[in-house]
Order: sequence, then C-alpha cells, then structure tokens
Amino acid sequence: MDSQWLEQCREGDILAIEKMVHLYQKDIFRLAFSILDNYDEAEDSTQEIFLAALRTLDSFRGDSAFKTWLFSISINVCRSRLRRNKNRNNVLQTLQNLFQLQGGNEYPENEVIKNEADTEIWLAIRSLNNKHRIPLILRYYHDLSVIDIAAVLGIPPGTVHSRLNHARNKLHALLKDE
Amino acid sequence: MTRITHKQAQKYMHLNADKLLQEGQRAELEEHLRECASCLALSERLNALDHRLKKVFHARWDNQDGPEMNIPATIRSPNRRVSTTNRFMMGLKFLAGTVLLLVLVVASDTLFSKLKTSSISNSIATGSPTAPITTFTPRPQPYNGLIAFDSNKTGNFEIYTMHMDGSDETNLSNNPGQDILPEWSPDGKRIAFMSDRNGYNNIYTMNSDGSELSQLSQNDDFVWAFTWSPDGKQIAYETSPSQVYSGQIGIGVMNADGSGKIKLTGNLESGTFLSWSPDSQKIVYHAQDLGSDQNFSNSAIYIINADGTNKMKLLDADNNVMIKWEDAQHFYALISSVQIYRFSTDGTPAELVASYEIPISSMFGSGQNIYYIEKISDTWFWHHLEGATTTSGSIWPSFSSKCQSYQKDLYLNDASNWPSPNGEFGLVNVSCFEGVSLFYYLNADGTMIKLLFKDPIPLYNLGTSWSPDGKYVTVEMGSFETAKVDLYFIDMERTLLDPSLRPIRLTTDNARINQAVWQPQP
Repeated sequence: MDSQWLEQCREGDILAIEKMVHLYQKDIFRLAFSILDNYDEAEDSTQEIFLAALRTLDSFRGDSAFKTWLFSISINVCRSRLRRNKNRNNVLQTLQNLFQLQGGNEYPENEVIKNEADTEIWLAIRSLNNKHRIPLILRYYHDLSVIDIAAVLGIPPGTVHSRLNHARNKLHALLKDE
Repeated sequence: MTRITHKQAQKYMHLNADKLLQEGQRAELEEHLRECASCLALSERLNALDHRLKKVFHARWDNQDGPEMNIPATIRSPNRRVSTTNRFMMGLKFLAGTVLLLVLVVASDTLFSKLKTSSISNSIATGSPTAPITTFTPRPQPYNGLIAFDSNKTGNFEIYTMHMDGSDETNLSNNPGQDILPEWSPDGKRIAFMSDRNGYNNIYTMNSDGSELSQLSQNDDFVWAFTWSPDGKQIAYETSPSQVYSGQIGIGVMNADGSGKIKLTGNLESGTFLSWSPDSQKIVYHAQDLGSDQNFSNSAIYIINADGTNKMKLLDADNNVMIKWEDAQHFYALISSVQIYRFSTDGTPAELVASYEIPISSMFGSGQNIYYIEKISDTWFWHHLEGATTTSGSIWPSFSSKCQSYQKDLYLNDASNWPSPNGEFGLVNVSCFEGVSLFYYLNADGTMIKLLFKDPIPLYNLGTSWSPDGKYVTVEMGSFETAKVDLYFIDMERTLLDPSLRPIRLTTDNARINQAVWQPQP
C-alpha cells in the first residue's frame, strides 16, 4: 500500500478504498474467522474492521507495515466481539441452567471438524484461552513473525514468545495425555 | 560433554520454533541434540507439533475466502460520512491551531517582558520536542558554570576547567603524576579526582579553582574507583588488596574529608559498587564469596546502610547489574540483561517486573521516567516501568529501512549518557565505521527522534555530558588514527532550530581529552 493510495483513502476516494478492501479483504476475513471461529461473526467483523480502519486512517503514520496496522485493528475488533460473545454465552448458560434447556451447539463448525483427521489437536487448541490461542494462530496460520505479532497485539516480543511457549507446552501435554 | 544444559536446550528449541534462534545457539543446540537422545525426541515432537498446527489451521481456514459481499459498496455510505468527518476534523484542528497560535503570541509577549530578569527559558528542558519551537528567546543569563576534564596536553594528564565558550582554561592539578577522572561534588564546590602522584592511586579533592588540595585515601587503600554520595557528604570507593589487580575488589565508604573509613565487604568477599540511594542513606552493591579455591560463589545483590549497618541480601544474581532508582525506597535492577526486578530498600522480596530470553538493549532514566528498550532483529520496542508493572510504548519497526532516510544504519551507543538531566530527552550518538558520528535528539519514551546536524560529523564521539539545565552538551570527539580527542560544545536549542549548525570545538591542543563533566549549579 503506497502512501498515495492511503492519502486518497483518507480523502474518501472510493476507488482507492475499493482497491484497499479488495487487496486485504481475504486476509482480514481469514484473520477474523480464525480468531472468532464463526463464519457469520467473521463476516460482520470484516466490515467493522474496514470501517474502523477508515475512521482511524489518520493515525497510521507509516511506521509499521500497513498490513500490520490493519491486523492490529482487526484483533481489537475481534477481541471486543469475543468479550461480547462471552457475556452473551454467560447469559445463555444461566438461562439454560434455569430452564434446563438443551442448548444449541456452541460451536456449529464442530459439524465440519467431525470429519477432520485433526479433531484431537483442534479440540486441544480450543482449550487454550485467547491470550495463548491468538498468538498461536497468528504465528502458525498467518505466518507472522514474533515481532509482527508483538506489533499487532501491542505487547513485548518476549511476551509473545513466552505465550507461544506456554501454548506449545500445553498442547504438547494435552496431546501426550490422550 | 555439550556446553548447554537440557533446560537451555529446551529454551533453544522454542526459540527455534519462533525463528529467534541465533546461529551460535543453533550450533550449540545441534551439538546437544547429537548427544542427548531425550532432547532429540522432544525436539522431534515439537517439530511434529509445529507441522500439525500449520496443517490443521490451513485445513480449517484456507478454503474460506470470505463472503461474496461487496464490502466497498457496503461501506460507501458510511465512508462518505467518514470522509466528511475527517475533513471536519481537519478544519477543526486548523481552527484550534490558529486559536492556539494566537494564545501563544499573546502569552509569549507577556513572557518576554518577564524574561528580562528571569532565568533562561526552559522550553527544551520541559516542553515537548514534537511541538514546533516557536518561542526561542535570547539567553538573558547564560549558564556560567565550569566544565572539568582531564587532558594530556602537557605530556601527562592534568585536571582542567573552562567555561562553556572555551574561555578561562585552567590547569588545576599541575603535577607530574597522572591526574584523571574529575568528578564534581554535588554542590559544585569541590572536584574529586584520582592521582598516582606518589606512586599509588589515591583519591584527592580540591576547590573548583584548584585550591585546598586534600588527599582522602591512603596508599594501602589501593583505590580503583570512587563515587560521590548524592548529598556530597561521603564517597564510596572500590579497593584492591594490593597494587596489582587480583580479581578481588572491596567496597568502602569514607567521609568527604577522608575520615571515618568503613569497609562494607568482608575479607572473603569480592564486590562491585552499584549505586547510592538518592537520599544517600544506603548503598547497593553486588558481591560474591571468594572460596579457598579462589573461585567465586554465592553471587548476589546486597543493600547496606552507608554506616555499614543492616546489610541485607536482596537477590541471588550474576554480576551483571544495572540500577535505576524510582525513589529513595525503590529501585529497578536489570540483571544479566534479561530480567528486571523492582526492589524495596526495606528488604521485602523483589518483584519480577519483566523477563526476556532475548537481552534487553538498554535501561535508562530515573524517577518516574525509566524506560528500557527491547531490540529484536530490526525492531525497537520501548517499555515504561511503572511501579511493579511495565507498559509498552513506542515501536520502531523495520528500523534499518527507517534509517535509510538517514543514510546510515542506526546503532544506538551506550545509553548511560543519553538522558537530559530531567530524564525526558536524550542525545544519541551513532558512530559509523566510516569514522563519522551522527547525533539524534529523541524523546526518552521513543515518541520522537530527530537528526541534529544535517551533515555527519567526521569524528568519533567518545563521551557525552549534559549541562545541569539540560540546554547544552559537551562531546569528546576524536579520531582513532591520531588518538587525539578534543572537546566540542552543542547548544541543543539552537541546533534544533538550525540543523546547518555544527558542534563548536572548545579545545585545539592536539591532545587526549577525557571525562568532561559540567559543574552542578549551586
């Protein structure tokens, strides 16, 4: 993304914005999907992320790669959705307990992974909390370096590395025990 | 027998998984894995886990290209709002800027009249360097203190003073011995220095005009180094059991007149002086026990009252410690470049504030402005220490590409002389292999960096010292070919305004200048 494009985006040039969206839409959707683990949520988030990016484009100073900056926004948007989901799930759980309802599948995509050979590791990944799961996804799926993950998450690289260590050790232990 | 332990090997495996393993470490790991079957098995399992993670993630998400929706069309309408909002905000910012400018004009007009009799404007020392410096004023009362330094211009090293414009250069020590390392007393009235004038290194003090010379240590103290207490009443010093360095160092304290000597370390201890507490009541030092086999053990950080009482062991640690004080009761220690602990002087257990596997580049500042920099590959991460926590600040990613605009790679030199006296700004010197120096002025928190002189200085910088008001800097620059070093002067405020300025050369003696230090303001 060169600076001229960004300037045009800042000025509201529709063609420039379309170009930006076209360039990053797939990456951003996959990032949102990999974190939220829900297709519909990821779809909504993708729009939300681009809108947030356009609103805050002035704050992009070119110190980092544009993609890193966009990923940072994406992570923030996804995190706030996860927080909202957690609250919603808490309410649902309470209602289910109250009325002994048979709740729906919390993770509809379980239907998909039933046929996957790596169900075991997938469930182990699921057991990680977001603090450890998100760096793992950024590292092993989006192939970001520790430094880029640090920049995206706004935490020190040493912390990223230690969270990845924790995640790997836990997965290692979980898979060994089964 | 491999050089690393099983634990280190496991650490290296994880570093390798994150592509952080350095070449030397890789060789050590490979050597270890050749000889340790259990670690090799673990390494293979970790590699297998990496492979499975990538496989499961890609299987799960690679075929998800996202919805068929037209996001640009969806966001078009909101974007018009965004665009309008941006323009509105720009207009608002412009209006606010205009109003601010008017306020500044009115305020500065009032300020000018007051400045005729007041001290120098402290716009650099306290203002934000990111804001344009528009209120530069002439200096009604220039700093009139002295700069002390040692020089071998007469054939042997002597202690000199001069004013910041290079005037009134005076040889204060004037002795055939080697007189070196001047240190001003905190009140700016006395200068302490080392001299071997009677065949042994000793600490001396004298007035700022060279009068009232006094020898503080004795020949059998075998002094190696010294540091004034912040209140100027005492001097801590390091000694050796003999004139020849044996590896064992003792730490002592004496009154500023040489009386009341106390040895803080025992006969079977070897110490390293680390720091005075800001209230001059305590001394932090590192010590290790010297065994009968002449090997050291029990390496730890200690704190002791300056009168030699209440010695407390604070933490086991290697002898690689940097101290920064938060206040008189708390300090941070960067240990072995990878861990930062926060200590209390009352001996309560230290709190681990930060821990890394990759060495921290620098820790600097004092009080509430203590920062450390984590440098990984090409990116610099700034962290602010706040009590027992650390907050992440500026990030300088892809730093070499940023430096291309400065035409040189940026290697930040020793951070000990970075900060201005108020700790908010720093002068960073970059020495390049071509024999030139670049100077950068930066915010201590990493939010701004600015090249000071538009053209590189064709000399190496060997030492930096700030004036007490944070407005001026002296640098000791020279050429390694000639081994000659001269003293140069930088007016920070003027140089920031006019990058075409050059450092002003204060000495022209074709000699070696050392340790220039500014006289504290009484």
